[in-house]
Amino acid sequence: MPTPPEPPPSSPTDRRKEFSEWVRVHTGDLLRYTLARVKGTEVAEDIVQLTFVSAWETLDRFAGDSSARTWLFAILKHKLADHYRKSYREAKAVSGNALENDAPDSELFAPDGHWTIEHRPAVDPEAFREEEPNERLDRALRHCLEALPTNLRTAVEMKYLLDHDSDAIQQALGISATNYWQHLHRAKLKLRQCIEGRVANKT
Amino acid sequence: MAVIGSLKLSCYKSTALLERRAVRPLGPGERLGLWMHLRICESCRAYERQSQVIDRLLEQRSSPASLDSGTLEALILARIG
Repeated sequence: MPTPPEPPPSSPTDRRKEFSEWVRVHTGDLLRYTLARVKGTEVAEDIVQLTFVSAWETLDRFAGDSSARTWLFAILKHKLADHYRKSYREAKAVSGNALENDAPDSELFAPDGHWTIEHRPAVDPEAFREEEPNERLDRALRHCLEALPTNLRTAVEMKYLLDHDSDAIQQALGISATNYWQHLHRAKLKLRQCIEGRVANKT
Repeated sequence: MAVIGSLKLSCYKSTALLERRAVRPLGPGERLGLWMHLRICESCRAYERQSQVIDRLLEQRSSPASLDSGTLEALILARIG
């Protein structure tokens, strides 16, 4: 058995001091993680704030059997899931069920479901060569995620947040399996096209 | 043959199956249909490779390392007062 890490100190002053140290050490990482996954700096900062407030209020439940960082990230992921659920509901309220049909994206596909000449993927475009680190590709992805409609972005984010657990995601967002796969498909089609265009234009 | 005909997939359907296959296994008919389509469709083969690149990027992404979180830290500390 490995020695368990120190539990948080018990006197209120010590606890506060210790917690302030966590804020100083981990805020940057939590914020970076969040900024890459939500739209807008303010939203990301709010989520990180909520995470720390929630951590502070439930500090009694921190058993010290994981690191503070692991514990904070677990809380952050709950907050992110809440955020996605909420923004998905709001997007749906605005746009209705406009996306719930299975017709091929008419911009990309001909009526028979085959790629249109203008939009079929290039066979080996420069955009998708993975020389690492590929700062241009990362930047393009960030930009193209921001450009996705909220419902599609949310489906993609939930996929990674909930570790590809499709049933859990469908339940959390309140959508059918068909609808969920369609969201992921559309999101990927849009991301791929956007990244290819963006890198080709050297922006 | 009608059976073969029913396995003929469009690019739209094939790319949808590729996305689903990245998460869970396809049924036997879907697998065969997709395999046949990818054999003849260069664009969907390109899509498959590029889609996998995007998946890897999504899994690893972070924001730029340079980031000033000092103001936010102060805000948080004030809130836990």
